[in-house]
Amino acid sequence: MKAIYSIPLILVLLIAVSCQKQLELEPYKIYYDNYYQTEEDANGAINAVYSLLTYVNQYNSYLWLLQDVASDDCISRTTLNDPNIHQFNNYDIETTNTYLEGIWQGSYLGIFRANIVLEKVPDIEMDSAKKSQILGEAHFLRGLFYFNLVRIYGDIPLIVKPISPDLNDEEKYVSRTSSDEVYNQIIYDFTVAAEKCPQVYYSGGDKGRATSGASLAFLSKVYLTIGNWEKAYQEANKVMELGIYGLYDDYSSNFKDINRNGKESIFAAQFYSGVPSQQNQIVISGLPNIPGTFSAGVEIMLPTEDLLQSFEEGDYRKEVTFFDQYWFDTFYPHVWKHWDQDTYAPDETAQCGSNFAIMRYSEVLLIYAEALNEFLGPSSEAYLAINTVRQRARNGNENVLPDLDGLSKDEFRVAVLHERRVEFVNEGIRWYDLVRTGNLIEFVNRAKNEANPQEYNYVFPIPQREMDANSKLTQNQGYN
Amino acid sequence: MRKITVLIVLLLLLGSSILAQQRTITGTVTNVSDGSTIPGVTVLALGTTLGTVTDIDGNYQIQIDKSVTKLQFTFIGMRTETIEIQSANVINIRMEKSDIGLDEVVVIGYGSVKKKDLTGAVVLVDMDELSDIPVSSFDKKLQGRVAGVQVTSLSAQPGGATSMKIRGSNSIMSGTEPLYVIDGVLMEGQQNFSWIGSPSENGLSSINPNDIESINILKDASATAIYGARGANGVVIITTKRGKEGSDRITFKASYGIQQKSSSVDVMNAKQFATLYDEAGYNANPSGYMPLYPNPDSLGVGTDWQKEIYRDAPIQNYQLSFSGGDEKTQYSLSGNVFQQDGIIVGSDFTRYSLRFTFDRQLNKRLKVGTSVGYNHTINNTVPTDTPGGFFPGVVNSALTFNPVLPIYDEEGNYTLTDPNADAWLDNPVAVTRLVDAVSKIGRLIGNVYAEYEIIKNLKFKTSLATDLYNQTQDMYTPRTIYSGSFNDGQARFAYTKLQTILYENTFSYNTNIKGVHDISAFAGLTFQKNNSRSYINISTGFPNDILGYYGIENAENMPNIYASFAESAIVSYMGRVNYNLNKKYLFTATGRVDGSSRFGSNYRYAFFPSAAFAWRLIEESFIWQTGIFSDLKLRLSYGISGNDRFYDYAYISTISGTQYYFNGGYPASGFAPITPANANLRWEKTAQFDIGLDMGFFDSRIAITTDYYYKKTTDMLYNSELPFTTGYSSYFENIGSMKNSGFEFNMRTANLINRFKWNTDFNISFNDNRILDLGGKTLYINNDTYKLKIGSWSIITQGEQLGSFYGLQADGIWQLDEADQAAVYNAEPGDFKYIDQNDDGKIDNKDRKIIGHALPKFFWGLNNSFSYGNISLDIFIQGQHGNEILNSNNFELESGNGLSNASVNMLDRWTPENPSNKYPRANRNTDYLHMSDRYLEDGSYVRIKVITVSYNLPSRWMKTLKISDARVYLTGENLFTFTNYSGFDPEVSRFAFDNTRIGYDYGGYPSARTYLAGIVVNF
Repeated sequence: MKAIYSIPLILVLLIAVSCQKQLELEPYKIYYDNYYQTEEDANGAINAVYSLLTYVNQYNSYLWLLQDVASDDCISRTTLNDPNIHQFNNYDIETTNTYLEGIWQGSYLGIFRANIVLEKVPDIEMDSAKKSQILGEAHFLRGLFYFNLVRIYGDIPLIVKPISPDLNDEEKYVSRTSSDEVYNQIIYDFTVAAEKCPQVYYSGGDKGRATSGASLAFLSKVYLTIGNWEKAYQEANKVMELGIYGLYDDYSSNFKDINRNGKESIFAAQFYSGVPSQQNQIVISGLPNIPGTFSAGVEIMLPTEDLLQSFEEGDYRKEVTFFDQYWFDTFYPHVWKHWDQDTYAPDETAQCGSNFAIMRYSEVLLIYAEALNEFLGPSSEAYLAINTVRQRARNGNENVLPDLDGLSKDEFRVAVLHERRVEFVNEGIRWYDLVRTGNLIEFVNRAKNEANPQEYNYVFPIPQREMDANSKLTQNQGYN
Repeated sequence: MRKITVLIVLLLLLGSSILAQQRTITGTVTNVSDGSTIPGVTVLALGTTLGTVTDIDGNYQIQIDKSVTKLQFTFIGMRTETIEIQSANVINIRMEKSDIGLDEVVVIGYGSVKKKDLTGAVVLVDMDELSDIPVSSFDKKLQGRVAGVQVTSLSAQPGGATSMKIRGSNSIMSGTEPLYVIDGVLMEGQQNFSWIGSPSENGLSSINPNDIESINILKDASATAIYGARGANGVVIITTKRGKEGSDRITFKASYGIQQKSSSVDVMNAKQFATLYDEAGYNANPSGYMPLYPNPDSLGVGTDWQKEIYRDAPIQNYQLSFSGGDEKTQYSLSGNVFQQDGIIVGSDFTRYSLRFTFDRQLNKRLKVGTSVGYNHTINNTVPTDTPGGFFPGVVNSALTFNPVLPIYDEEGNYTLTDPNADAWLDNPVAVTRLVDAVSKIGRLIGNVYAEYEIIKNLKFKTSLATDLYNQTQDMYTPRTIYSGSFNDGQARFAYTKLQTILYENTFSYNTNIKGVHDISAFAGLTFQKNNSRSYINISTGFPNDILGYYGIENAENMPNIYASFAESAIVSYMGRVNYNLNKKYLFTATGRVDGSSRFGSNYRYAFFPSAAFAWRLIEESFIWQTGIFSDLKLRLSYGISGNDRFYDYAYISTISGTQYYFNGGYPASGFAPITPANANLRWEKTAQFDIGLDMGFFDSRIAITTDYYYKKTTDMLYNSELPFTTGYSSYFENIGSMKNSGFEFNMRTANLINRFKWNTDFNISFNDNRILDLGGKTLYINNDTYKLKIGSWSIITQGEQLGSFYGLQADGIWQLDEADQAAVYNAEPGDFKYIDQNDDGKIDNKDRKIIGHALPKFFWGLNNSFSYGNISLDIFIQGQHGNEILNSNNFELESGNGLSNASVNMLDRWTPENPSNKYPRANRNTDYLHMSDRYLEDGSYVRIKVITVSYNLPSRWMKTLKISDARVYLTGENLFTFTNYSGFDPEVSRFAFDNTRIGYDYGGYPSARTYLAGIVVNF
């Protein structure tokens, strides 16, 4: 009898021992410590960096919306129920602006992921050519994100190593680095990318990845932005001499899906219509809202009269960029440039999967022209570059857009700025151009009555949320 | 010979006259709550020593003298009944539980004690008293019934969730709902995320309330610490009905009622709206505006969108149960069907339940038993409480949709959308009729146990309990609905499975030394494993809408798929000792160690102790001699319990997938860390001190229980913000502390106890919540909606309560004579005016401050029961005071921009001739998206919650039908609400269980008034 009493006790002790083990559960998750081991992991790591490009707070809205509405190109639709956009339009920008917070967040997320690649991938045993390519891509993307950040916010925290998984205070709270130093880092990143990235990707599934040509093109753009004219035109020239890129005969070909990642596309954010989160919002953002036709049109912004009037007579690009009539509906001109009508019916525009060009070959030509002009004054090579772009814009009609010739250096500068404007409407470029050429206040004032930009508006404020989270940050002057 | 005959006759005569002096009274004693017969009731002929006891069938027979006029019936735990003997020789009586009884058994964690021996703050709720209340889950019945327990309906949608807070909210980021213990299974009531646009569903609605015998709520630490890392929010122990010794019983219950919308928010008709629309356009652009509706009078009333989506809805419940047993075996079997249609078309909730229990005493030492319950619920939902902007829910759409537009267009199809709105609106009528959204849950809760008496007074019990939960959520939005038209229909297909296994082993020991020292002890080891998986597929691009979500394989576009798997385990050791000295001094000590897989590796094990002392002053001669009290007990307790309600894998840095497609569709799957690791992640600790006093007067005709408590939560989990430059946005760390302190008062009185009975039950609770420390951080709660970009509207910061509203202070409307001042702020007369707190000529973030509180100052409940003979009347009123609600529907309804329909209040809008100081002018470009106290309203209310009239059918009618007991009743629920709140209902919460976002109303499902009739029959 007594023995039976002990059964419950033994049972309980056995359970106790086996149960302890149960607490050590292997999680059903990939986590930091068990990843970054194989070639597949390396691919996964670099692909995660690319994924930022289609984020709404990057090239799927904020990074072209801001540049349009804060420039002399577009105004925000007055009935639009979003004070954050109107802040850009009216130059009444608050530090809590959600778009600025989003751009900051997305860019640093991309930088973090690129830093992980650069730290973890070198130790992975894998094919060395592939490894070099992946590292090159990471340098390129990091350079791109920092380039956007430094142009928008000025001095920014410069972080080139991913924070360790168990965070420590030093790595958490980083203070701002001067923009000059940031530019040095960006130049370094694009330079290394130009060496490590291949010139061409042969596999269909890799088209759209960073190439050495793209790295050189961005290098030239960075030099242009900081005023290093000599280097700018030299790097642009390297791109031109690769012989890989060229202009389409028809300007509108750039925006058709069939020409995705084609000869004029140097680097583009890759969208895909088959997955809702990867659809490109740019088309419906510009379209009018016409129930039954453009029922998804959001018309966030509208072109200014100033922009519409700035086109020269007969410039084919104007009709490719704007429309003011569709069948029986007429309206104030809206941007329809990005709408590939061959692929998307009007009621399919919400599912647009067209790429968004971040750098086209025509920009390389114009960088070449501008930098060369600044360095040496108007020269035949500079004229050739800019006239090639203009010639394409004639679209076969030789009576319009005459070739430029006989201009002074200042006149050439104005001409290049104008050419860039009409070539790159709604491609996220104009505001940067106004800032780097020092024309922001004058041009915006001319185009919009309600806006009154000040000197301090040449950079945007550090997001308030970030100021609150990191006491080491200081705010840009003029914003409080 | 003759003498003997005479003697015999005389004797007979004498005998018969003596017999004629005596009567035999017989009868049956039944339990008023469920009609079961009660064996063992003492029947006493008052004034004599004559008595008897009811037999196993509840029958008695007593022979009494004619001089006896009264019979008294007594039974432990029941109110003593004294009956006048009249001409009838059959006296059947019903006995009811003596709810002030100190011998009543109260369930505490892993055991039970008599109420008089209780050292902690535990409340017993008798579910039979609440059985007539027509609601879908038992937690809704508890509203206002228990001091310190605040029950709030989070959504009035059938099957909608309820939040229960026991002594305030204990946490910011972790769950604050109590732990529920049902049939041995420990569960949390919170429900999983809804993938189909409906508000949070109630996990507890998959339990049939008719199966519940009683609910015990454990409030203080000495009661909850035994539940260790899960006890910090209080514990609700649900005891379900099991078979009892006694003859077999059959019970049938049926009820049927109608629910009607009980409140309304009125909006403009077509003519009024058209006028507003054009006035707004004109005021924004006087020179260039072209009116859209040149002839508003011709539009008439237009479409009343709200009318089209609301309806009267039935609610019904049918239950059949069998139970019975003898000394060795007891069983019960019950089945139930419950259906509640919702007052919005397209919403309804149905539950089928089946339950079986069995207990068997095999021999003197060994007892085994089981209970198994299966519930199947089907919940057809409509979207409400949505973020707005992109396809807000039907309540909000019905309020804001343009009344000029017809429901159907010229071709007979549903009007697709309102093109003038600045939101993407679905036609609400179309949504309620065409969108198919249904959540189905199959839940099995069961346990099996064996109890073995090892030696006298030492028992061992082992039990295995399981909770198997399977849920599908399916939804199809056809292309005839605006939100489905973008991608040719959208289907959602979600599957969630949760499995819990709990294995408990306990030893319990009781002994009594010399009648003075009474000791009971208990020790246990338990192991729980949870396993979950969920999968959801969102597909678009359907060739047609014929199959709805059943056609999900025909989707042409790549689906979005999310899946997750998780596992967790807890190992626990626990013990408790109760020491009762001389029935006067009671001591309790408990301790529990929990090891959880959720905790970081540096903190795997947690220890939770508690101690309590109670002094039964009534046993002290200096008290009972005064004759004032019939009961007096002082209780003190202190203990620590924990809260482990956070994600299973929060302590590691998890890596998640990313999406990107090169060159028009080549997938490039990526992986990146999304959260940082934290090896120090651990449970939140709540230390609670309680002092209570139980008093009884006039033989317990007045019973009062009152408690003061102070709770402090430390190591509070907080999702600390990280700078974005780290690549992360936040991470969980244990910093911060918060306190809740308060006072509870409960009084039960038996005012009249004779033929006309009147009982009152009143409770009132005060709680003060305050955040003590957040490591110097402040959490700004932002609006998540696309539509209402008002920025932060609430703030969590040191020194303030949870639910502190944060924004500008409104100052009416700019008037004509203030035009110059208004211009400084870029405003005109007729626009919104705010106080410029720092006088800097700008209205911006620096002018924000704390402008209100969402937590109430106190809440109460008052129940009065009257009965006379067979009729009884119960009236229950409850209320809540001192809280504010953000009526964010009014941002749109009172903006004056004409881009959404407007409240009828806007007929009184500001114009130069009507200089309102409350409602702004019509203005298309109005600057209305500022969080302020303009739309912050007082949410206090008093509600006549339940009125029930009940009639016990007389027993003579019943005999022929072999019915032992029958009762019919009429109930009204949610009959009338007295409140100043202008929204649909002051009980509202758009963000469901999220403790950082309370007191927010945006398109919540309106509540209904119910009229119901029912019958209960016992065979």
